[in-house]
Amino acid sequence: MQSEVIEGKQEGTVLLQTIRLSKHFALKGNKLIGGTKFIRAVDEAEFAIHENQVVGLVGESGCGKTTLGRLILRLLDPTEGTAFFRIPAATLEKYRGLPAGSKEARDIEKEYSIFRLNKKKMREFRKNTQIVFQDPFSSLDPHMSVKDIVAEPLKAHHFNPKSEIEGKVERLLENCGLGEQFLDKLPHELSGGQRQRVAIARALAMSPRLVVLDEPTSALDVSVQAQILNLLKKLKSDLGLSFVFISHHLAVVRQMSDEVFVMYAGQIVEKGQTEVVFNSPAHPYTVALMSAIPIPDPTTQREIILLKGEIPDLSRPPSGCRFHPRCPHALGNCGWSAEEVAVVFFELVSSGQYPEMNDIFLRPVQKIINEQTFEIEMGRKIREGELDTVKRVLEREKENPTSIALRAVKEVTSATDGNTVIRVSLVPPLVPTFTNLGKSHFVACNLYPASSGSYGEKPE
Amino acid sequence: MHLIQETEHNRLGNGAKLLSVRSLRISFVTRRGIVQAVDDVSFDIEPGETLGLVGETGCGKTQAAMAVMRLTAETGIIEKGEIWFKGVNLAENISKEFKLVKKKRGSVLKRDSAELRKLESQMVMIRGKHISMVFQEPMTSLNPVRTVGRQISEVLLTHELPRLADRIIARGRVTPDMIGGIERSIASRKSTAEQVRELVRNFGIPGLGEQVASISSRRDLSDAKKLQLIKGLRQEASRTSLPFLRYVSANGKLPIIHRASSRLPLVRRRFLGMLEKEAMNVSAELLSQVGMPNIAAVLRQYPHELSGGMRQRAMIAMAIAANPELIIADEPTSALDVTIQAQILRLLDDLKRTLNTAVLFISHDMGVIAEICDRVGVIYAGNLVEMARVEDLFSNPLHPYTKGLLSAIPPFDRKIPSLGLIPGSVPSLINPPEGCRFRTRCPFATERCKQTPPSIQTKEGHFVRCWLYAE
Repeated sequence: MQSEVIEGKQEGTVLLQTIRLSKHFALKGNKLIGGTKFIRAVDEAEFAIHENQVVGLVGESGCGKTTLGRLILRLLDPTEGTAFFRIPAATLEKYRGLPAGSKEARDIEKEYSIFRLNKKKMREFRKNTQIVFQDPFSSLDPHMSVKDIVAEPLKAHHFNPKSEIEGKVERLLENCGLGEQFLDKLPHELSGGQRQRVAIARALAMSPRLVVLDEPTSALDVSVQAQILNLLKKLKSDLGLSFVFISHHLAVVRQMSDEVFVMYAGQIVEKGQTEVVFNSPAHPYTVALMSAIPIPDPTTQREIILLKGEIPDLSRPPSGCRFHPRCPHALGNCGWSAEEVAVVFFELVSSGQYPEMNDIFLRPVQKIINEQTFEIEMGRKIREGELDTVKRVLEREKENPTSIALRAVKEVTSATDGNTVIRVSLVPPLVPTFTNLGKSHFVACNLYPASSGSYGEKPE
Repeated sequence: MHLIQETEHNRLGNGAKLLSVRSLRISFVTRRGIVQAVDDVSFDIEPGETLGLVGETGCGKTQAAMAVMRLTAETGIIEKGEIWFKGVNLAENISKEFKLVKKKRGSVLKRDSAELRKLESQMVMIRGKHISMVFQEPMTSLNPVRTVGRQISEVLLTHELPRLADRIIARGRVTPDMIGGIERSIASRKSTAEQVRELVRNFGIPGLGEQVASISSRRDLSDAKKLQLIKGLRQEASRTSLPFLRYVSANGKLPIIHRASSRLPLVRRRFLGMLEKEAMNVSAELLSQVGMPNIAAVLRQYPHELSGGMRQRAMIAMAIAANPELIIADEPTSALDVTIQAQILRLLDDLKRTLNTAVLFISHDMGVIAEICDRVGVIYAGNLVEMARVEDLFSNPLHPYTKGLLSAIPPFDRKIPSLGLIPGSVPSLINPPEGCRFRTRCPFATERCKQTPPSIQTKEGHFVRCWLYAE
């Protein structure tokens, strides 16, 4: 059933489709020196949500999943790209074929893009989309009673007739498992789970079609989390809602979503049906993320793939694949910069692991020429055989997991001027694009060349 | 310090408990009434063991651990109970210090400030030295205006003065012959770390062994680099500073002239600076032990410059600085991402094994508990409801609350139609239900549950507090 929905994109209407959606936040900085820095929170995200479908967005903190969630509700305006709401699949197909900026494309954008809607259509869009925030302690107005909180969207959208608002509020709360004894309570009198129920009731007040759930259970205890998740499942099947479920908790996403999108450092790296992605994760990051989840069973011995380092600074994201500095399977063309390789190279030299290298590089001075080249000034003539020694050591070290960056070395030559400079040039980077692994399972990783789908070490 | 040392040797025999908490009761006085946060909680920790305490928000698991460190907030009172650490009852004087005086308009808390000061001075010698703590939020628990290096040094300068002095003296006493012996031992790859340690121990120079060990156990260096560092170990201490160092080494405190040295800042700088520098060296070693990258820079950085995972590593380095017997880890990974969490858990596990430190691990995440603990106690609404070996608890949970808690965890490896539920919510601890506190939500509750259930041992080491298992 779900696979039909995904495969059968051609028919019917797509509830929401984003096209190369990006958001870069400007950092305050000195505009004279160095220019403004940008945090590239979301880069070229593209995904679709269909009616009565739950889409999971997973990733670690700071990977841009919340920003993406807010973009698709137009709580933020994008830097680039657009998002269409309720667009007929045929029109969408047509739009993709049109050159950007053409008149026809602009007409389609005017009609369906959530960032171009006129005032009237925008109101309609706001009715149809809602959000539930992570922290139920700060997302409810402490001055308002539960009744008023849930009635507020109804009043804002001029719900008619007014006399029925009260009855509607009671029904909404009833649906979310709160009886009428809660009507006059204030948020501080409620527990975390009850508050989150109020937030959900408020989101459902105008019968939206799409609700973004931004970490709805992260602030709750497991037993309360189970209650809320069961409630959300029930609402989905009763009301035919679509959810965008944002979470860092993979087990929760697996329980809730039909399709899952894995984000890393602002980019979607893997997408597909939940069962497929969870059973055979393809991207090394997804594999590592899944292996890191503690399983509540002391008898299972799982193999954890420990990632080195931390999430990159998004104002200077790594070039090529953003995961490459932490990736245990990185290839030479994953986007290594001369700087990264030079650091590993000199660590190798100074570690003393190869005494012959120590003899060659007594007082090396490194110079980064460009992204793909760096030079080492020797201060003397290169002796015979020294280049071969360096090449041999590099070749051997390429298999070593700690010096994986050396895989990017393409050739080691002596620069022409007087044979005193060794030049190391790197493999040109290849920015990964989505590869279809079958069953609508897409992964953006250079381990999967565009046509094939083989990858030896799949867990389980 | 005397408090612990006197009893260290005679009481801690084989199979003895390191920490033994007996029927602890902690209450908090609030405007709405007295909150019974912890009631009748007992647990033991053996040396080198990891005990987990698991429960939901507000169940009192953190308060039980805080009481061990005597860090209970001002409004909290340890009403009852014993906290035996290495044969000393840390809660012995509670009746003297805190008094609940009943007045017309309710209860008023009174404390004897003199007694409190006495207790504080005792606890300062225990905190960090014998018991240390890793907190949940490393941003709020690290000092924002001090560099990481200084914060770790602080622990060493408070508790480990003799060790620092010994290290400096040792570098002067070690002879070139000894260095040669160590070098040969490390270079001939056959000899294990234990053999190297044995060799150094035979030299009989205190403070030398740990320096050699910290060099030889580093994984990021090649043997050649290690030998280079070993060679550089020998450093003559200046003749004027030796008496000072010997005094510190023997007495564990600074000479009087230095303690009252505010009038002699130059003297203070000259001698204390030496110890401070050595403390920085040890801090660097500690940071390398917890796998911190780029140590030289991190030592000079402030906590806000570090990422969450690195802050937690610094926190752990601080906790192990004085080789404590017990580390209390209060949700150490809850604020971290899963991939970083996996790194930190692996680190804690490694340290536990190498240092043979006992860990009291507090968490709400059953997955983390299953991974790291030997035994687990489940706390509900201030009561310890079940205690068992970790395998027993997960394969055969007995208490209805434990069962409910385990069934509510979303499984990772498969999709299930709906999760298990515990109906209702946690009761208010101001007026908790009489008897079993879980009975208002328990599907098996009977009349009998209005009486306090006994602690029943169903099998070796598996205790449950529930009437279902009485006869």
